[in-house]
Amino acid sequence: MGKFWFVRSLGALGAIVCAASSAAADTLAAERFFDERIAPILSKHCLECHDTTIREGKLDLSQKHAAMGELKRGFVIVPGDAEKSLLWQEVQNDDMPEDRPPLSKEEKEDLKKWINDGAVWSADEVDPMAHTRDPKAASNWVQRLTNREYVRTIRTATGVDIEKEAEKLLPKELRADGFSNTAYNLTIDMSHIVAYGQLAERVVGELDVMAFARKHGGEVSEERLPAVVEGMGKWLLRRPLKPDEKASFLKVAQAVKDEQGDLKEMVSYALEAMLQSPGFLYRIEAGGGDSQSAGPYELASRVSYAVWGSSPDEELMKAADRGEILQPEVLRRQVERMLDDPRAIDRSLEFADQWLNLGRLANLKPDPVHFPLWTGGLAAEMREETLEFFREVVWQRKRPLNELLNANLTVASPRLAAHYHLPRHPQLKDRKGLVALYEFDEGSGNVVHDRSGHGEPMNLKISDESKVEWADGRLRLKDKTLIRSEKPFTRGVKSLKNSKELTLEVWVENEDLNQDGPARLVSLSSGPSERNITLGQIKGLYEVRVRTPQIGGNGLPGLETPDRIVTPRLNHLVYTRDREGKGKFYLDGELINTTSTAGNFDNWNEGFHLMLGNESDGSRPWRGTFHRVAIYDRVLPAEEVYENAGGRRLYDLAGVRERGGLLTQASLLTIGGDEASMVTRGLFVLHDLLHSAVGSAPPGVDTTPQPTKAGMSQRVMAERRIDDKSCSGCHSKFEPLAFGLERYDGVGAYSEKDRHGNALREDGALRLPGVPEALPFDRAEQLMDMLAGSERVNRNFTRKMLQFTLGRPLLGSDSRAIAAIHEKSQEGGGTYRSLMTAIATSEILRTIPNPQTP
Amino acid sequence: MKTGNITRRTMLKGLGTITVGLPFLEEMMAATPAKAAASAVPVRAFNVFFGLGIPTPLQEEGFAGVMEPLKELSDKLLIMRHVDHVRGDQPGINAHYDGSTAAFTAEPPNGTARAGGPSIDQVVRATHYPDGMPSDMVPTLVGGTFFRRDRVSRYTKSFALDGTVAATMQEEPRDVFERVFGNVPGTDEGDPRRMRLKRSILDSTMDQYHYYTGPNSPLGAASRARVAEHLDRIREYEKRAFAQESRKFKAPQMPPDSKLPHGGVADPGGEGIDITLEDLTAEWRLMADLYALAIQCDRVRFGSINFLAAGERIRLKGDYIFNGEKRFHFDDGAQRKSGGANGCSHEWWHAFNEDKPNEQLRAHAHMKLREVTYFLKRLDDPEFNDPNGKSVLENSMITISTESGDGRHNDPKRELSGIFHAITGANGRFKTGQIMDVKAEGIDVYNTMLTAMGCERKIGPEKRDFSSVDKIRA
Repeated sequence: MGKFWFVRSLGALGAIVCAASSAAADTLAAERFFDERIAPILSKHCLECHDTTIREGKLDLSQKHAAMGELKRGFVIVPGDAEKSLLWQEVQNDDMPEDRPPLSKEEKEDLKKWINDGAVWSADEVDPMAHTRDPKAASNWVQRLTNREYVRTIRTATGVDIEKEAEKLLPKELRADGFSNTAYNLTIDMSHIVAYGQLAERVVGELDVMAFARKHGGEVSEERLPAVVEGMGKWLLRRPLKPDEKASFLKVAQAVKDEQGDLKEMVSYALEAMLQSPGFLYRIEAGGGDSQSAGPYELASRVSYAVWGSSPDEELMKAADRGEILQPEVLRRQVERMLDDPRAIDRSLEFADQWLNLGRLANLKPDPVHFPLWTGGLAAEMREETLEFFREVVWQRKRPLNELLNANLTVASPRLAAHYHLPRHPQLKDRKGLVALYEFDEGSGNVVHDRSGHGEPMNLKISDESKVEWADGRLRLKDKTLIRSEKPFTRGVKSLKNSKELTLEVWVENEDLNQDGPARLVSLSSGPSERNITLGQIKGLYEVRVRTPQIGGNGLPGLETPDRIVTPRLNHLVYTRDREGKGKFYLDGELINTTSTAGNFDNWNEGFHLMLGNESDGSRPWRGTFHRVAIYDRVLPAEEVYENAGGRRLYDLAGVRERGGLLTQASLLTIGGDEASMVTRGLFVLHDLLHSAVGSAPPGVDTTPQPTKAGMSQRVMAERRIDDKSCSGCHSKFEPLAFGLERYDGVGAYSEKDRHGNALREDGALRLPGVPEALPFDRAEQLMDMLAGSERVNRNFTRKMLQFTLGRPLLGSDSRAIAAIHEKSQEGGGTYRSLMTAIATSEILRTIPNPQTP
Repeated sequence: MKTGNITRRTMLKGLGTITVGLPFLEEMMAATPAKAAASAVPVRAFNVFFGLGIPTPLQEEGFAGVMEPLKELSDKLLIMRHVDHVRGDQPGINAHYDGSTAAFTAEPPNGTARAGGPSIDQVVRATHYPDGMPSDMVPTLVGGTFFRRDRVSRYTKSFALDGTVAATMQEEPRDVFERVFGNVPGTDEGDPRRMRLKRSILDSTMDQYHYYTGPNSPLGAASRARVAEHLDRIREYEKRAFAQESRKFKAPQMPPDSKLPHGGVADPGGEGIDITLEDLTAEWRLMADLYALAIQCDRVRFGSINFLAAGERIRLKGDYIFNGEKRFHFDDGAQRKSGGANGCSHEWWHAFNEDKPNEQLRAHAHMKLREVTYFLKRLDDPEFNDPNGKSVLENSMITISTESGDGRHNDPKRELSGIFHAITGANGRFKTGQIMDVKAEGIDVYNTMLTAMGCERKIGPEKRDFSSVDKIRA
């Protein structure tokens, strides 16, 4: 009885298990049908009007709970009964979509079948970005190593750095569907073949070939060559060689031998062949048959390229050798270990760079009439800011990824800090050579003290105290006055004559962009036409005039900076002149002009007084604020100038309400183009932060960013588009996302009025895809907080990272994998580390898809 | 940059010394007629694309309007009006970069860097060369003079069977020269032993690529195609590097470095660039010369070349002279009173109004067709006639495609209607010498052309009844 009972029970259990397994398979098939057939239909034909934002007829087909709801006329979808479903009733007779092409016969059949089969949804929400994509877009493409992966793999595998050569020889990769590593677009050109050959030769040439062979293949001898080739091949190809491959590499060695080559040469040529083989250049996986679990070496390679963008290291290979990597706990520990390696940081920055398309900054050329301070250097610093910010938030502070949207910090260069109006303070790295230093820290009185400590102080006297305002560490010249040394600057002039070198360093805020004369900031002179040196302002530019025996007393011609660089912001100006007569002018740490003039300071007059803010006769007044003036009898090198300007440093933005988070950084704000278009900014937020989509503008619609004019700000134009019935369907979904950014101009500078005098706004209401209620905000910082708190944004990180890791666009059928990874990542705190761990240990990374699957 | 035409004569005359792949020179040195006697006319197919298109009403003016430059080749062309890209016309499709992808593919794009399917030239190639092109040929040549580049489909117009780009874009004349004519580096001519050893590396590599493209390959179809592409490039490399000895030979000078911006800097955030007509046409014509020469020397049989991208943004300056007569003075920025994107010639298309003169648009479109004609005329050079005595232009299937830049809304369900198309006779397969009101969908026109070219495969969405447009066939 007992045995019979056991057998019967076992049979029953088996039946239950089978039934459960069959039910699970049915559910999976039904979910797949939804992902692959139904969600694309809804995305393509319905969601333009019936999503959470528009909800025309109060119908939202983007959300499961809403789509299953009841309207006045009945239920939209009645699972199991298409005929009773409003959705089917409207579609079958082509009543819907309105004014759009009807569903095809096939699509209708699919829709009807789906409803009749129970209307199973795979996820709570339809993702138009993924569900409208043709599954062929994610075909199981073999991945060629990207240029960066190739360089890193060479470095990991051989220790040789070929970055510069590879940059020169390999064709650049192009973006496809948001990233440059999209496998389908990693095509191959003749120049790749040439480059791989040349680079392989270069690597082998730099390598200690015999040591490399010994390390990976043991003792090197002709007899042991097969084993050596096997060892080197396994290391370079990231898996054991197949017999044909081994034979092929040995044939190369044999060819060398036939040509009377020695052992070293045999190994060298075999290595060159390995570095050009498909097993090295492509991430080839065994595959075959149905989807299957990755083998140990395949998994090691997948994880390694996911975390590092490079080949496995020895420890990972050992875990693969032992098969241990297939154990989830071992895999997790390996991933944890790898995330502690600097290569993981490098890989994450590559992700950020591609995700945010920061490479485009190098190509921007904003209209110089409106953006005179734009340079390629500033663009590079904007890119650097975002990457360093990413590094700080993600790696230094280990904060959740969503805090990238509102973290109150940034890392900025002096020039970018000036661009942002960040609070800056004069720095003094080295007092050496100071002959005069004014820090304006007196706070009151009519004397500015020389703090140089160089001999007798060369204090300055303010001629009319009522024309100045003292504040902490600065002196504002609000009206015409003169600040003049009480005695001639004899001591300083002697030092300069002696050293034959000079640096004049000034921190100023300018109050009048049209003052001329030149208006004197600093002058060592006796009158308007007789000077040793003068730093002046001629409207939009600065000029430095220096006397030399060859030039004469007026110091002309002087060094002029480019026009329109004078700003009302705090700027750091430095002029240096060396013994050879080479003059350099730096603005906020960056060299902006040079000149070369003959002569030295031998004819400088030791009886001239040092003056600030005017000429001795009062004829060249300057208005603005001094924060520091320093004179050195040496030339400050560029690095010291940069450091004195503040250097690249971390800024706490707690007190800077207009900055904080990715969207307030110029690197992203430039996406709007010169006109700071709300369309392109809004689309960026929609696509790249919220992972949603609207169709492109219809053909013929003028998509050129429209210029603003008096009475027509970007906000006004956006609201008109949103009010226009023919545009609002799409524009209401994305333009409000940029409402909080209107105060940032085309290059990311903040202003409350545009150049036409239009008041700029920062209030709005955030409409997140999938969230029916708009969330009002008054200030940009509130918008940033809302985005940072959005689950949609959070989930977007998972999607973007997964796409980057897989090297292909995501599909609707990936939704379950995304959900599982996201959940695991959030359990780990939602950090980069937790997300990458979740991805690297996920089912999708552990599974090799059926190569025949489209 | 000023350049003269490159002809076979000047090629052989030789102005400089450069290393040129011998297979190419063999082709060049052999008298074409002698070779012709032994060979049939090769099947060739190319697409010539120009950006922004010709508004339908202007097409109606025939050669009296902006199509005037095509007149001198009119007996060798079939100009087709009223061809619609219905299949590419879906909600959310943008005419510039999406719609233009439909030209000679009949499908909207499938991603930002690929079409929904193959272009017609690649279907012809796959049909007539199922085992690949001879290894001494460039399998597909894609070149062009263009600037806007935020999407690959704006400027690449030859797509492989899986819709990916059929070949890497060669965007400078120098790139085309090196891709087609230049010798490949990496072989040491002075050291035969080293060459033999390099050859053994290549053999080893090719064996392995063979495996991954063969019947036992673990790879799926898409991946196998990619690896096969790699193998093709290696074979080509092998042919050029090893099959025949390369020599220093007197040949035309390497084209000078381009003066125009290329790469990312050519498209500063979509704001457009300033360029003179002289610089633009000088570079294009050199590109066109080299591309045509590649065809005439039978180094290339398939591919595409484009003059300006879909939705191109340039601010052009300069006098436009046609047949010795000044027709217009280009100065887009000043005429539009704007810099940046709004000052670009692109905006003349957006501003097109049938009831207005549209002078600027007309001049730009006329100029583009002048330059397209320049390329076509190079292929009509009798010095390079095929064995049947006809020119390369007459024997090849050359499609001239463009986009809908002006956004005609003559039918709200057909935004992409009335796109300008033109084709050559393809060795007597298609009618020429007329402007035909085809009044058909592009997909049917293209598939009719494929049928005429002996191709069974159809392009465009599957499961659709094919409606032959027989009136275009000869």
